[in-house]
Amino acid sequence: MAHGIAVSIAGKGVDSSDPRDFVVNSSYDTFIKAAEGTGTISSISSGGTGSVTIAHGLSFVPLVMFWCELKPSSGKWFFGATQLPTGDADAGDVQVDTFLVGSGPYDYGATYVDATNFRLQLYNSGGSSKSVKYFYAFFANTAAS
Amino acid sequence: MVQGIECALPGFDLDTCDPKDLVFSSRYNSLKLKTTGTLTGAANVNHGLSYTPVFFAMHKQVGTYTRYSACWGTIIGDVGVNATNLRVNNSGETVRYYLLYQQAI
Repeated sequence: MAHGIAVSIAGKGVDSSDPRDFVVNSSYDTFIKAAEGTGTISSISSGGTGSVTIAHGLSFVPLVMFWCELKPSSGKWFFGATQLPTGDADAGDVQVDTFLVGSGPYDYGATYVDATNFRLQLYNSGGSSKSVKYFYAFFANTAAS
Repeated sequence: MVQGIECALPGFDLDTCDPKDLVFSSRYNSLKLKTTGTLTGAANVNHGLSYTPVFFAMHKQVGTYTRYSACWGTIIGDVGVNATNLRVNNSGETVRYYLLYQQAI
C-alpha cells in the first residue's frame, strides 16, 4: 500500500500520472531551501574585484543559487554567473568573476561552493566604484559529485 | 471557501504573511525532481520526458582545492538539454545534474 501526501493543481486529480500536475507529491523529491541571505559587496573599485565568503554550516556541499543586482539600484537581478557584455545596459559594468586562477587560494575559480563556504566574487570593469547587492540560497541537495 | 494546505515559517501568521514566508502552500507550485546524477567528460543522459525539462548543474573543479560551481558553463562545462537528452560536453570534469519535472520551453 502506497502512502504519502499529494496535492494536485487546480483542475487536476491526485490520480494523475504527470508530476507537473502536483503542487506537492511526496513521491517526488524537491529542492528544499536550507538557508538564504542577502548582502552587499561594497565599494568595488574600478577595475577591481570585491568578494564575500559565507559559511553555509552544512555537513555536505550544498547546491547554491544566487542572484546579483549587477547594476546598482537598477532593480534588475541576474541569476548566477549570467555573462553579459561589458557596459550592458541592464547589467552595467559588473560581472560575476568566474575566471580560472591557476594557483593560490582561489585556484580553480573565484566564485564557488565547497564543504565549508560559498564565495562570490564580482569584477567591476567600469570607471567608478560600485556596491552590488546579492541574494543567495543554499539547498538541502548536494552539489558534490 | 478556499481549500488547501499551508504552513508558515515560525513567527509568521498564515493569514497575513508574504508567500516568501511560507514553508509550503498548495496555492503555489513547487519544483519536483525527476532525477539527479553525475556525468564525466562528454556524455548524455536520456531524461525520458516528453518535453524539454528545466535542469540545474554544478561542476566539480579539482585543483589545489576541490570546489563546485554553477558558473563554469561557458568556460569549461557545456551543459545543455533538449527534448531527449541532457548533455555534458567538457574536457573531463564531473558534473552533478538535477533534472526537474518542469517544462523549459
